[in-house]
Amino acid sequence: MTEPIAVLGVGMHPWGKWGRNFVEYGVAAARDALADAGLSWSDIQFVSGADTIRNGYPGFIAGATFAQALGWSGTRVASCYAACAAGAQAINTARAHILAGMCDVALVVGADTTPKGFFAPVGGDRPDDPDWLRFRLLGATNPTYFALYARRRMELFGATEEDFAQVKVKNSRHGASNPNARYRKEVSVGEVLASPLVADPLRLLEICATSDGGAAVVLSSMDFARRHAATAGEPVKVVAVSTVTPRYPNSVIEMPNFATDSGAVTASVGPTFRDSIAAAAYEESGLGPEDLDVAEVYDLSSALELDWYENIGLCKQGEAERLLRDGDTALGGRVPVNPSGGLSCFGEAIPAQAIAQVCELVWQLRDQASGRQVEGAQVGLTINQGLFGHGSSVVVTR
Amino acid sequence: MVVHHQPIPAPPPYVSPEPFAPYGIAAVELSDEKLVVLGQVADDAELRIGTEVEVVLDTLYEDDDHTYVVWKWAPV
Repeated sequence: MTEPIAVLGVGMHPWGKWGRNFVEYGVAAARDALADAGLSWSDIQFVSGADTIRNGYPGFIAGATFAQALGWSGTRVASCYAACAAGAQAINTARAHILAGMCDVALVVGADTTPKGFFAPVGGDRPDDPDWLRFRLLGATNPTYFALYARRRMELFGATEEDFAQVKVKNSRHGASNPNARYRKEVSVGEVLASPLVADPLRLLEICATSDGGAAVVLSSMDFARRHAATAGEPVKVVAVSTVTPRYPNSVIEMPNFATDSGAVTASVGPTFRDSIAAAAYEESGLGPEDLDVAEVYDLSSALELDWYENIGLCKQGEAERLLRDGDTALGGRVPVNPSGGLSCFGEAIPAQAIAQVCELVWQLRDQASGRQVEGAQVGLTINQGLFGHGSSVVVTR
Repeated sequence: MVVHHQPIPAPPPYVSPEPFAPYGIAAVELSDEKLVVLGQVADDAELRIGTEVEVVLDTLYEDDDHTYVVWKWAPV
């Protein structure tokens, strides 16, 4: 078990399609997180930026970009990219600095401005880049992969299009009163199933949009938190961050690859990659799925949320549809999943997303999630996955 | 094998035929090599999970100078 660190403050810029510079969203989120922590920018000893690859050079060095926009202060800096998992890595970089005694208090920021429509690879002719090749050779978009995973659930476990639609219905209800969510309209199963097919069997309302947004957290050592004591009572703590990669041979197709590893020489043993992400977080925290009160999972598609239920151990493989139908993962149920509304209501602002998951859990554990509160939440887990094999999971406790 | 149908075109660098034609993508398990390989379905054949397929060479796209070919999956 790793020593905990404290979350002193959280902040977001609302998700949307605002079309402004991503730096604006990051700075707004950072200022909110600092105000929430009762600290000023000059108190921050380390800034950790989650990079975006769609906004030119400033996006590749996001830590310094945000530091300059907040006003050069001489603070130490790091920037990292790990696709959808970038936010968790930025959090873990800050955590490592804090636990190593290299700083007491750190700011983590991620923000993005996204183009319309399908994500496409970054420009240029790059036939040695799997992310370029999968578009060129297969026409395989991100939703193509989500659709293949969905078909697999239908074949193996008898999931139906209505099950998938019910995930969207649940999340739309959760996010309806979330002021940071982009889509705040409740939808019905009929509306979901009447929306256009994007990647059979998935429809437009079941696939996460590409969004603009920003999220930030202020992290500190437990000693600093006790001295500072600006937050009411005991702060929410980060007790585990999982950043695992797959083990060879990975027998599940990983975006953006178009083949798995071969199991001809060495058979695949042990948990799948997605299972191993949460397993590492549980191991580090000394907690298990039975301890969870709430979870934020990466619902890139409605169907994928059901996979995550199993990956984080809320139920056995093949039982996720039943969990959903029984209302266990809805607000008021046994373990509400995506009380924020999830990607379904936010869309994806890639480097901000894993940070936003943590923001939501902190609000939940502080009893500040107005209109979507999970009563008495004490333990929460986020899970996410960045393409090219980046695991991401954060466990927080009260 | 898992198959799905792509009813709208992917963005570049995918080169869409004119007019666009929906296409299928299949995840095919190679029994001896013990790996799964994605590929487009040749001629957008109607495949079901479990169907045996074989690899064929088919046109990816053409320009003034060349015809570019790619692997695809076709029912045996």
